[in-house]
Amino acid sequence: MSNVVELQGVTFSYGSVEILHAIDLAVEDGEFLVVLGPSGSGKTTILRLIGGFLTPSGGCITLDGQDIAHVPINRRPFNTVFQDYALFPHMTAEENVGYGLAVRGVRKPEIRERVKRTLELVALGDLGRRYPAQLSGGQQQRVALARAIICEPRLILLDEPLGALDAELRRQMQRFLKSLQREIRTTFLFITHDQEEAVTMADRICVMRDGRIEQIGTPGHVYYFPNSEYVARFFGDNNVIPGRMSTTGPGLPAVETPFGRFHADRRVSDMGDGAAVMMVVRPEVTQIAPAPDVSNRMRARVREVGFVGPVTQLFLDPLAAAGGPPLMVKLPSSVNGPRVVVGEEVEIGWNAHDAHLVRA
Amino acid sequence: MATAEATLARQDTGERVMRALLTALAYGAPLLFILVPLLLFVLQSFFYVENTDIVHRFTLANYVRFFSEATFIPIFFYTCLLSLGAALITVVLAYPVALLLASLSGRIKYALTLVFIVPLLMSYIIKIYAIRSILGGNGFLNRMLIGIGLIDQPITFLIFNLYAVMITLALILLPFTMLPIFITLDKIPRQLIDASYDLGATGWQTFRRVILPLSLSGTLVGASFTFVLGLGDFVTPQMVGGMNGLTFGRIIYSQFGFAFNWPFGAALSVILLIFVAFVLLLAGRVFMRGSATS
Amino acid sequence: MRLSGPAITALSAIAVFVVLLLYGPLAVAIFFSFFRLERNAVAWDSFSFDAYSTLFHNDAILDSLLTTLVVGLSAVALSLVFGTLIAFHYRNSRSRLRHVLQFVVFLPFLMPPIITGLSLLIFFRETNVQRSLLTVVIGHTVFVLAIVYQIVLTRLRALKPSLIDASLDLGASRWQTFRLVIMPNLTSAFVSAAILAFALSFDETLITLLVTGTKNTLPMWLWSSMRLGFKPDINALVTLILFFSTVLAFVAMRLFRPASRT
Repeated sequence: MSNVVELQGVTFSYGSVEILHAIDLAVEDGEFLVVLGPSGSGKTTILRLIGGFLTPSGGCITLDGQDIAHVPINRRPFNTVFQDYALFPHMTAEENVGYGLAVRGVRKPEIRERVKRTLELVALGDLGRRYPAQLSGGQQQRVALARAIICEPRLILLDEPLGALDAELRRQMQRFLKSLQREIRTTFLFITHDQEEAVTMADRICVMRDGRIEQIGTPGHVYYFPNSEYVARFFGDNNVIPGRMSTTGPGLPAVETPFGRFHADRRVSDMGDGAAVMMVVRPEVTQIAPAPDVSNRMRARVREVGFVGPVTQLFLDPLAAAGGPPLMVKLPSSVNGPRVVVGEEVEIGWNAHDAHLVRA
Repeated sequence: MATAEATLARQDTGERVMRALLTALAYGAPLLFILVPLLLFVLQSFFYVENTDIVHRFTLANYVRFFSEATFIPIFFYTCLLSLGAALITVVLAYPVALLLASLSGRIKYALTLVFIVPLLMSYIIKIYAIRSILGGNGFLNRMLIGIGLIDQPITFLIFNLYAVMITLALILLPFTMLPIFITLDKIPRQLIDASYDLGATGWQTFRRVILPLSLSGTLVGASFTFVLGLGDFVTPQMVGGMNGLTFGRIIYSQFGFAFNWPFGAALSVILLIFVAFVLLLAGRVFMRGSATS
Repeated sequence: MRLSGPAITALSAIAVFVVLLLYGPLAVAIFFSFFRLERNAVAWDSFSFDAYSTLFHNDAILDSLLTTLVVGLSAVALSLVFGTLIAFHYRNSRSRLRHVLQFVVFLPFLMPPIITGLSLLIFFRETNVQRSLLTVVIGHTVFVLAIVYQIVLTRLRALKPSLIDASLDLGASRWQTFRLVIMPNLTSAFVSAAILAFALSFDETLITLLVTGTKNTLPMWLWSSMRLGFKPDINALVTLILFFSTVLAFVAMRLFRPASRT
């Protein structure tokens, strides 16, 4: 797959503060790339740099291999869906959508035709005559989307576009955006701080932290194989157990932790014995009363049981070193309630191949 | 128990009386000093003068006189043109400055805005005085020009005519026009400008299609400020208009001084008031349409 | 909003021109409060404060200045009281009449000043009130009332109703709520309204001209003496007024700025 846009060693400073540090990022043709990070991580800056709203302090941004540092915003074949939509209040939905064509001097009948088609594509066929103020949040969102796709840009930049919508509408729009992207086969660069949204929508996720890229990969990869404690914790609810490498000889690498000695199936490259590591275990693969062949096991006391719909969350204090943060186990919920009660002592465990090591 | 209830009840009536009193005051003062005078003033326009006394009897003679005598309608007409001219000049000068101010940010914006706002708080009469002291026959400009030998006689076309009135009004009222223009321009979200460029528009296209339409309402408010204030002014025309600077405002004023025909002056003012109301309503309509969509 | 280089250059040129237009005449007045024209040329060696000392010995000017201050302060006080009262009424009442009331309050601001002045003139004559300083104060109050009302109302609207609910919920009476919660939040609005009202009153000419008695305010005095010609002491006065109004404008702007934070 070829790359549409590439960032090479791009830095951005505001005054004396460096907001982005040497970013390398390649946006592949036709992909749905989600840039994920908390506010202040630099994700919106990346979008604004690509869009041309900001000029990089260093490095270069290329489009099809050509440096576009000096191409002004209005000449870049990218269109943006703004966080607050930025619809022109004095134009109808139709006029908003047709704006990009009109300023390029496209003839009126053609504009009308293409606007009609695009509005139908975003399921707003009959609302074209309305002003933005007469449309609901979700409808405004679709107008903004239609306005961005009508010029058939090489790349569509979406700046947390779903942030203002309520949960149900948000899920609807997520599915809609995905299907729209498949239909028009354009590259999407989507900014969000919501890890669930990122996992749902992305072909690839780029996790940002403090102006650096922490990890890039498919949602499955980033979810199951975080390459740092930060990413592991950002994807919510991982159990992260600190320890030291203590392998000797061949076989599975082992980690010495306050709760005992556990095995993982892969070691972190270039990590010798005694190096500080974190063992990351997803709560849904952690078992209560594990099968006999499960190698990593410990005893723990149930601190809290929480019913959250499809799953039930258990928080457990390991007996070996009480007082630390509890471990979490997610079980499928059952109409009969959980199998354990608060205060009960149970054995928990997980397979070596479900344990993932990251540098501490 | 009974006394407590009685106290409560008394407090309640006390509060109610207080409330009624305050409400009466809130309505009473504006009614007495704004509405009643205005009604009396309209009423006055239907009276007439005999010798030097105002006869409190109904007549339409004052209005008939306005429409029948040849002098008043032309004066009214060119006073309108004059105020319109002043409004146009202020818009032409104020809009670019407001645009520049709105495009700035931080300390420079604040400082420069202040530069253009301060004249708003500067004395009106002083500004007329200063302008007159420059343009006048014995003024600074003429004396300097004579001094360096460019002219022998003072130039007279600079002052004491309607152009001088129009230019002076424009200079005085410029900040009034600028302020509402600046406010509407400054309120345009930056995102909209970004979106326009993002969609491929050039700077000029962005101005024509986004900035200008969105600032039209403020521009209209500013221009109508100047227009209305220009229409009714009688001091500026007197100070810089001289004998040739007869405007509608001066004619009205002279009815209350020199000519001593209050009812006729009132009638002329009522005509002015109706016209102003009409202009403001029209402007308000456009303004509402501008803001209803945002 | 971002502008291209050439656009900024063009706009800046216009802005410089406008600054010259706005300040040029004033600069000339200031200049001639220190220098004299002799034989149609600036006498550069004539720098002196003579004009200022003449000014301070001119009782008529000082007297009119005092009158202006008295009128301004009275109008500010009256318009604050009534403007606040009307703003509270508009905020709290559900009566339809309050819209009419608001319209009436705005009238003197919307109409050309000549009409406000004339209607008061006729009103005072019909009610046999002699024109005096009192009629001037009423004229000024009527004129600045709309500004005071608007500023106070805007701040009242910005006050969250929950603030008042919270105060009542915590056991305060209506009067206590008014005194302890509402008034402190209005202070800066009062100050800005007072400054603006005073500035408007200080400068008011057209209404004053119609309702004034024998005692002159400063603009009246300027107006009558300007017809006689230009004297250096008027330039000196102009310089002083410009200085103080600039200071006042700075103070007002400083006050308006924090208001946008709340």
